[in-house]
Amino acid sequence: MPGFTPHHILVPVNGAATDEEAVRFACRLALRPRASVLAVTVVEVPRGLALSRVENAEVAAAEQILNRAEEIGKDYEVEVKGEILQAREAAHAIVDEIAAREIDLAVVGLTYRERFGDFYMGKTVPHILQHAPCRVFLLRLAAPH
Amino acid sequence: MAEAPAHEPPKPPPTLPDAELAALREAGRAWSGAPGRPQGGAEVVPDLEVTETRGRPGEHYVRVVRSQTQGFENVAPGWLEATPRATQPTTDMGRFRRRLRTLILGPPLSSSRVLHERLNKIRALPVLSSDALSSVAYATEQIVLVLAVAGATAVSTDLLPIMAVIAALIVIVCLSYRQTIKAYPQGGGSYIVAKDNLGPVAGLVAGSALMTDYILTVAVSVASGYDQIQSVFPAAAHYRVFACIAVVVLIAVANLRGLRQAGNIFAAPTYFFIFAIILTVVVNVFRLITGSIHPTGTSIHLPITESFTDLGGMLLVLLFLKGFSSGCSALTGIEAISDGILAFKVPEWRNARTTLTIMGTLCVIMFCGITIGTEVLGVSIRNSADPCYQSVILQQAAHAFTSPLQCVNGHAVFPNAAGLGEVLFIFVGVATTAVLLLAANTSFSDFPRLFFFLARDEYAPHQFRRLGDRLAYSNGIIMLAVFSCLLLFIFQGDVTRLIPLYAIGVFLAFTLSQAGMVVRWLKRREKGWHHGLPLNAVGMTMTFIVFLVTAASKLPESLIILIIVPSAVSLFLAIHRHYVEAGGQQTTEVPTEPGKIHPVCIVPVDQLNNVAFQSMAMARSLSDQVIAVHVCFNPDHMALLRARWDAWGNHVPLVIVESPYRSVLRPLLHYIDAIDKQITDGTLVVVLPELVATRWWHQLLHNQFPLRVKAALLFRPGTVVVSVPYHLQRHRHKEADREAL
Repeated sequence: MPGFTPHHILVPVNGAATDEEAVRFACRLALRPRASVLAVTVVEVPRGLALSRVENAEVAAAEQILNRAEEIGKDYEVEVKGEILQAREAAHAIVDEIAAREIDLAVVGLTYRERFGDFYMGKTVPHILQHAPCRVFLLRLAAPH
Repeated sequence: MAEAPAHEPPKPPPTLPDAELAALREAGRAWSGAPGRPQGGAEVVPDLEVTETRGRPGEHYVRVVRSQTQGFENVAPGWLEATPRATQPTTDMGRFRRRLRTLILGPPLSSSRVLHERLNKIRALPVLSSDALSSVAYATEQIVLVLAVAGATAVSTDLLPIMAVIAALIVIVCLSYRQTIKAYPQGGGSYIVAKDNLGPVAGLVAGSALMTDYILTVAVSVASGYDQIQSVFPAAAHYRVFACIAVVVLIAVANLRGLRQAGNIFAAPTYFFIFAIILTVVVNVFRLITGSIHPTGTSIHLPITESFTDLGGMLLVLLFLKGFSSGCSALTGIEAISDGILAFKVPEWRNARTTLTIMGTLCVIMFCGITIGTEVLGVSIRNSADPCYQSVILQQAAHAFTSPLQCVNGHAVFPNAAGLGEVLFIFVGVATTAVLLLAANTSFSDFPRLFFFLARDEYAPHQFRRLGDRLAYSNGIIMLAVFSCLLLFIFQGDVTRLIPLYAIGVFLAFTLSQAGMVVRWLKRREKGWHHGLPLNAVGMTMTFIVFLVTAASKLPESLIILIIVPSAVSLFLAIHRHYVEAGGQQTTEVPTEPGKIHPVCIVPVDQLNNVAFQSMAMARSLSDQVIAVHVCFNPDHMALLRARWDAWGNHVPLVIVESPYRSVLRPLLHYIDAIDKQITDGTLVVVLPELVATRWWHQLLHNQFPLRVKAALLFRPGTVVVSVPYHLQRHRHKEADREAL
C-alpha cells in the first residue's frame, strides 16, 4: 500500500485459524507509525432475544478470543484493544463500527472454504468488502492441496 | 511490560468481633432510614461493564465496553482488579519517570508473584547469610589484635580456647534460633519473640537494638570493605566517603529491584568467598601435611608499651574476655534468617532451618579453619594503617598459594608470586573484599522486614507496611540507605570510629530473643520443651555475658546505646499512642448519617466567569444556602463585580469583604470562622473554584490562591473542602492567539 499509512486498524476476530495471522499482520502495520489496533469480536444474538441479553459463556469465549489478540499485541509492543459487539449480524455491526471509530484500514482474515465445489467466502467478508468505508486488507490462508 | 495480574478465588469473609459488628449494624440502621437524593442525571455502572447501543435504525448493535479496556478486570460483582494498563501514567513526564524507574528497578511485579519472588535455599543463603559469613573474615583478626597487646605468647596460647568458646557459641545460638524458627514460622525475629513473651517494651528494646545494629552493619561492612580496596590502592582514600555512599546506594537499588534480583546479584560473591576460604584452609592443611610449608611464629609489629608486656593474672583474664568479645563479631548476622523466614519459599520454616544449619556449619568451619591456620602458620600482626598491613585471611592465602608475605621497604611483597598461585591469591583477596562490601545486603533484607513488623503492630509509620513495585519493602530499604549514608558521612567512613558502636545491639537482641523463648517454653510446655528450654537458657546466658563483656570492653562509646535504644523505644511508643488514639476516636466532625448533614456552602470568587459559575452551580446542587465571597482591595473591581452580579440576577448572595491591608487569605478565613459560628446544625462546605492550566509552567502564571486556601482549611476542624477544577484547553489558547493577531 504505497503512500498509505494507517492510523486506526480494525481486525475482526472470531476464534478462527485466521485470527492470529490477521492480528500479527495488523500489529506489524501498526508499528510505524504507531497506529491503534482494535480487535473486534461479534456475538451474534438470535432475533428472539434482546440485544443486551447474552449468555455468560458466550461473553467468556469472546473475552478469551480478545485476550489472545491482546497477547499477540504484546509480542510487537503494540497495544491491541479488544471490543465485544452484540449484534444480529456480525457483518453489519463491523461495518458500522468501522464508520463509528473512523477506522482507516480493516484487516480481515479468511480461511479457504468451498461450497458446492466452489470457493466460498461466507456472508460477512463480502459484506465488509462491499460496504466498509475504509481500505480492507483481505488475508486468505493458503488453500489446501 | 508489567505482568498481567492473576487473581485468586475470593476468600470467605472474615468473622468480625461482636462489638464491631454491633456498631456497624447500628450505623446501618441509621442509614437505612436516610432519605435518598433526588434521581437525575446519568446512571453509572460501578463494575464498568457498560453497554452502548449503536448503529442505524433497524440495524442496531450493542458495544460492550469491557472493564479491561479501561484498565480493570472484573473478578466478581463489585470486585475489580487493576491491570497494568490502569497503572500506566498518562502524562509525558509521568511516562518518562516510569521508563526511568523501570530501567533502574525493573517493571512492576504483580502481587500474585509474591510467592514466586521468594528465595530458595541456594539464593537465600547468600542474601541472608552474607553478614554472618563475612564476619569470619575479620573475627579472628579482632581476637589476634587484642591478644597481641599481651605479646606473642598470649596470641599462641589463648587463641584456640577463645576460638573453641566462640565456635560453641555459634552452635548454641544456631540451635536456639532453630527452635525459634519452628516456634515462629511467620517470622521469628528478636522483636517478635521478645514482644510475644516478655511484653511490648522488651520487644521494642530488641527491635531498637537490632535497628541500630543493622544501620551500623551497613556502614561498618561497606567501610571495612573499602579498607581492603584502600590497602591495595592507597590513592582510593581520597574518594572514601563518596565511594562508600555509592556502594550503599548501589546495594539499596539492587534490593529495591526485589528479593530475587538481589539474590541473583549477591549470590556469586558470597559463594566465591566460601569457596576461597575453604580452598585456602584445605591447601594449607595439605601443604602442612606434605611438608611444603612449615609452622612459623607470630610476629608482632604493634607499638606495645612495656607495662602491657608484663600483665598480671586479672588483667590477662580481662584481656581474654576482651579478645573473646571482639571475636564474637563472628556471631553478628546469625539472627537474619529467623527474621526473614517469610523470604523463603514454602515450607518457609523448614527451608529457613535448613539454611540456618548450613550457615552455622559454614561459619564454624571457616572461623575455626582461619583461626587454626593463624595459630599454626603464624601471622604478622600490624595495624591496618601500616603500609605492610595484610589481613589474616590474605596472609593465609599467601601461605597457601604463593609464599609468606614480606615487608620490604615499607610495602607488602610476595616473593614467589606467579602463575596460578597469584591468580588464586588475588581471587581470595577480591572475594573477601566483595563479601565485606556486600555483607550490608543482609541488613537491607532484614531491616525493612523488621520495620514491617513494627508498622504492622503500629509502632512504626504505616508506610513501612507497603510493598513497593518490586515486592520489596521499599520505604524500609530507602530509610536504611539514608541512615547508613548519614553515618558514613558523619564518621567519614572511618571503621575505627564506627566499630565501638557495633555488635552491642545485636547481643542485646540475641539475649532478649533467647529470654523470650525461655519464657515461652516455661509458659506453654510445648512438645520438645525438655530439650528446647535448656538450649535457649544456655543461649540466653551466653549471649548476655557476651553483651556485658562487649559493652564493658567498648566503654565509654558503648554508653551511646543507652541513649539510642531508649530514644528509639520512646519514639515507637509515641507512634503507637498516636495510632491507638486515632483508631479509638469516637466523635466525628461531620455527621455520619446522610440525613443529618445540612451543608452551608461558601464559594470564594474572584470574577464572575465560567470558573465561578460552575463552582456556584456545584454548591447550589449541594445546598440551598450558598454564599459567594469576594475579598477585594480595589474599589473599581468591587463595583464592576457588583454590576456584573446584578446583571446576572443575584442568584447567589454575594458578600464583598474589603481588605484595606490587601491581605486576602486571612480575611477570608476570618469570614469563614464567623459564618461557622452561626451554624448550629449544619456542615460548613467551602467550594473552591480552581483553574488548572494545561502545562506545568502555565500553572505558575496563575494565582495559587485556591491551594493556599486548601492548605489553610486542611487543619480547620469540621470544614469540608470541595475543589471544582476548571481545566483550560489547548485549542482555546490557539483561538486566543488568533484573536490577538
